[in-house]
Amino acid sequence: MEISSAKYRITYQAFSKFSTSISKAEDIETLIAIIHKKSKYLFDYKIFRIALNQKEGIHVFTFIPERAIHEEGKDYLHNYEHELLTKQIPFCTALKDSLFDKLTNVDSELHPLLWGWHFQYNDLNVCTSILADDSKRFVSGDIEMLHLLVDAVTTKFKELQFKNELEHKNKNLKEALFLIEKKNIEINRILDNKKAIIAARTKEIRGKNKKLLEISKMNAHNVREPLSRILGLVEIADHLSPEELQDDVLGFLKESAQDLDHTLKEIIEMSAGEIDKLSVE
Amino acid sequence: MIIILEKAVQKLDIFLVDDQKITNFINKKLVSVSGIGKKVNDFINPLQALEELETRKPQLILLDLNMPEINGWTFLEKMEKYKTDAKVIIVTSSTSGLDLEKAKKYKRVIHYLVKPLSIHSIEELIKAYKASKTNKSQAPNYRT
Repeated sequence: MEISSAKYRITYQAFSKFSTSISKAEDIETLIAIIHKKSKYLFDYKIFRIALNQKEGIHVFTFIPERAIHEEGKDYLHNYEHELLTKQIPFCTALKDSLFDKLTNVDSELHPLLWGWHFQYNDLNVCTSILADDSKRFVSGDIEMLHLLVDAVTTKFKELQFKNELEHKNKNLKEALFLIEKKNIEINRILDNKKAIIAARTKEIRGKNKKLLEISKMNAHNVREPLSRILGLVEIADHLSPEELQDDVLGFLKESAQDLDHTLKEIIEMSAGEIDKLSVE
Repeated sequence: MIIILEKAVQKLDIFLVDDQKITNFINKKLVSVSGIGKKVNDFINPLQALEELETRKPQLILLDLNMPEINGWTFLEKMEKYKTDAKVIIVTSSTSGLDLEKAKKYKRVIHYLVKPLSIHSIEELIKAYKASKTNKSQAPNYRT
């Protein structure tokens, strides 16, 4: 009794250290390294596996004294683990097949035993298994400690997953923001460009308009000049002698009418030219 | 119809300045019919009109604006260098409001008429000349 209570005290001290260590872990790889380093002080095993099954995927951690292995995907689950996750029935059985031959020497003389448990945490299914034998003895008294360890690891694992997810979302958001910023700059540049083009076009059109108005004003003036002579000659006709009408005014009328005709022809040609120029542009 | 001038102003020495000889012919006829003119000289070259300002001493000048040698505005500027108190009436085929406004800046310009002149415009012209003589201080007030 003395020995066993001393063992428990030591074990709980070790678990306390273990808890402190994993609480500081910043990522899953560090968590795995801590489990590998510290779990041997909590209970004995030849192989220790934890499989965490969630909708985002399956993580499988395998610990042997020499190393820790982290695998992802349901292909890495052993048949007994599939069964554990679906049927959720714990077991303890003598290991008969060569399941772990690649990882460790299994000596049937030493009575190898495979233990399996299932734990449920909300949306997270966890199964854990231990291979032990007479050289590394796992006893039912260790189950409580194992349970504590799995609790702590699972909680930390979820926390790290959330953290990863958050970081990932943050990164995506930052990228999206950066992209939006970039697009905004681009849009503004396009808008500025368009504004400049519109301003230039407006200026050009105003200029053309002014030019056309000037032309039309000049034309009106040029037409009125010979026309006013014709009107003037008609106005004075009453006061003229037949000789004056015959000798001067008829010639003046003819000359003024020809000037008017000439001016109108010029205007028509010029307008046609301007219209051609405009339609070319 | 012959216009009889009531209590006619004294008859005037008049210059007609227009590069169009036909316009001068028309205006000369209108002035002659109205009986306002004592002596009427017409010039198709405005520079020559300027040269004869001091010798012929006209009291009234009918001035075109659009002329090849010097335009009406330059003519008005150059007039300042001669000893003359001749009044000027602009007679133009321009209906531009800008020209009308510009004309108002010259004290000498007492009226602004748009071609063609008629018997009626000659009556207007006489009224404007009378007004300029009886009320010298008043700024010209006319419109087309």
